[in-house]
Amino acid sequence: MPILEIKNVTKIFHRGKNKGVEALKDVTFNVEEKSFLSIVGPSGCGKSTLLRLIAGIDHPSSGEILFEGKPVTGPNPKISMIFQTFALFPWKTVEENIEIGLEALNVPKETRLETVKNEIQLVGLDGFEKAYPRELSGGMRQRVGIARALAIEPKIMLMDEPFSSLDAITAETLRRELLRIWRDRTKQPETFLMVTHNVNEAVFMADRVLVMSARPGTIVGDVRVNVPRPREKHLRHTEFYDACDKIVEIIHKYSPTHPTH
Amino acid sequence: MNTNETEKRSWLTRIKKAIVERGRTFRKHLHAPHISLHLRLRGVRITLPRWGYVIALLFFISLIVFVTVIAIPFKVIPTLAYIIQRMAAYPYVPSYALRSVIRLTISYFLSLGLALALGLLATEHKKLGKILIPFFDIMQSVPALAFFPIIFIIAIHIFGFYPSSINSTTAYTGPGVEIASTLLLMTGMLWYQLFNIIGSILAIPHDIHEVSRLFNLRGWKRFRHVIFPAIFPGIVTGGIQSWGGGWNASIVSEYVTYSNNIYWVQGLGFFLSYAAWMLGDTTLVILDIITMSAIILFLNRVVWHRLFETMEKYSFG
Repeated sequence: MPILEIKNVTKIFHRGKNKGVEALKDVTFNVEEKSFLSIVGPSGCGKSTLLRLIAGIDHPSSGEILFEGKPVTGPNPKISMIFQTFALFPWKTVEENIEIGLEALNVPKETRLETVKNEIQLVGLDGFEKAYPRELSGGMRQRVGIARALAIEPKIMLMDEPFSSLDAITAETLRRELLRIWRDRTKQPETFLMVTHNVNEAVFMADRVLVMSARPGTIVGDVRVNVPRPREKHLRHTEFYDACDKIVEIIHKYSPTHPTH
Repeated sequence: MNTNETEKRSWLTRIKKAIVERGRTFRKHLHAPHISLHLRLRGVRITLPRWGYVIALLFFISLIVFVTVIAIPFKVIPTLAYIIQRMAAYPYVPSYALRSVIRLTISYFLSLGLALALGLLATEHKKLGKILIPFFDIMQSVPALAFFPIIFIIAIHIFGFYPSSINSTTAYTGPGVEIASTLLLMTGMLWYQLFNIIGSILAIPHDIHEVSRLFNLRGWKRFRHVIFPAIFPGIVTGGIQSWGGGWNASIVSEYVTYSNNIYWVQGLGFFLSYAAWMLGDTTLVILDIITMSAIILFLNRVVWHRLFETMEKYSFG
C-alpha cells in the first residue's frame, strides 16, 4: 500500500478580483513506502505548491491527498519538511531551532535535549550548539534545517529544492550525507519526497523521478532509476545517463516553444 | 510569482509596504546616523554625506550664533545667580519630574498592550486587517488634540475632580484629571508603537510563517516563538519614538484648558505650560526643558540603548 496518494489535485490561486491562476492541474501519483521520489520541472510549475499541499500548510482547490490512507487536512507531525531558504529562526540558537518542532509537540524537556543532541551529532554540527544562524555558512544552516526536520521523526520527509541555494561543492556533500542518513537510519523517516529543477540531482538521489510540465503543473513523465546504491559508487552507471536523457527529453517536449516569462 | 504585479497596485498593499519601510528606515538611521542621505530632485541624485553629523554641526553653529548675536546682547539668557534663585523658588520640580516619568511609564505600557492587541488583530486576522490597517492609517493622521475633548470629559466626570487653584487662578485637579491625562498621553504614544508592531509582523518572511504552520505552532506558542521575537525590534524602536511623542504630549495633557476652566496635574509638562503661559518666565522654561532632556538622555542610555544593542539577533536576513 502506498504511504501517500495524490488524487486529481488541482490548486488555483485567487488574487484580488482576478480569475485566478491555476498552479496545479489534475495531479495524480502515489508514493511507495521506503522509497525516494523526486519531482522535477521548470520553475513556476507548481512543484513547491504541491509539497505545501502534502505538508498540510495549504489546501488543494479540488482533489484529495491521502497519507496512510487518511486525508491530509492540516499539518501532521509525521510529515516534515526541509526548505530551500532554510527558514531558521534568527533569534534562536542551533539547538533551539532544532528543538522547535518537538516543543510544538509538547515533548518533555529531557527527551527534547536528548533528541537534539543526537541530531546535532548526526548532521555534524558538534560545537555549534549555541551559535546563531547568522554566524553559520549556508551549508551549515541547511544542516540545521535537516536536523530540525529529522528531530520530530517524521515518516515522510519533504524537501523543497534543499540544495539550490548552496554552492555546488557544499550541495554535493550534503546530498551524499542525506543519502547516508537515509541509509543508516533505523528510525524514521523512510520515505523521501524531493522537489528540484536539477535533473542530475533528482536522478542521483531518487528511485523514481516524476516530471512536471510548466503552469498549470501536471505530471507528464514517470522515470524509474535503476542505479544500485550507494549511488556515489555508481556515478558512471549507464542507467544514470539514460534516466537523465529521458527526463530532459520529456521536459523539452512539454515546455512551450516561446518562453512565457 | 507573477501574480504579485496585480497585488502591488492595491491600496492596502501600498499602505502595508509603507509601514514596513517606515520602520526599517528609522531603525537604519538609529543604527548609523552618519550614513549618507540620498535625495532625488527632478531625477538628479544628490548625496549628502554623513548627514547626521552635518545636522548636528549646523545645530551647534546656530546655537553659538544665537547666544552671541541675540541672547547675550538682549539679555535673554539669565545670570547663574538668578537661575539658582528661581530654582530655589520651585523646589518641587524633581517630584514633578518623577510624576511625569511614572505617568509616561503607565501610559507607555498601556499603549504597548493596546498596540499589541490591535496589531495582532490587524495582521493575524486577514479580513479584519483589510479594514483595520487603512483605518489606523487615517486615525494616526488625525491630530491627537482632536481626541482630547471627548476623552477628557468622559474621564473627569467618571473619576471626579476638585478645585485646586494655581497662583490664585481657579483650576481643577483630582483622580479624574490624572486618568484623563494618562489617557491623553496614550494618544501621543500609541501610533508609533502600533505602526512599528504592524510593520514588523508584515515583514516576517514567508518561509518563517510556513515553518510555524508546518510545526503547528499556534496561540501562545506561536506568539512566544515567532511573533514576539519578530516584533521585538519594532517594540524597541516604537518605544523610543513613542517616548518622544509622549514627552511632547505631556505638555498639553498635563495642563488642559477646557471651556475656560484649567485642569492640571503635577508634572514637568504642566510646569512647562505654567511657566510659559501663566508666568512668562523663560528661565523656568529653560530649566524645565533641561530637566526633561536629562531624563530623556538618562532613559536612552539606561533602557533603550541596551535594548537596541540586543536587537541585531532578532533581524531577518
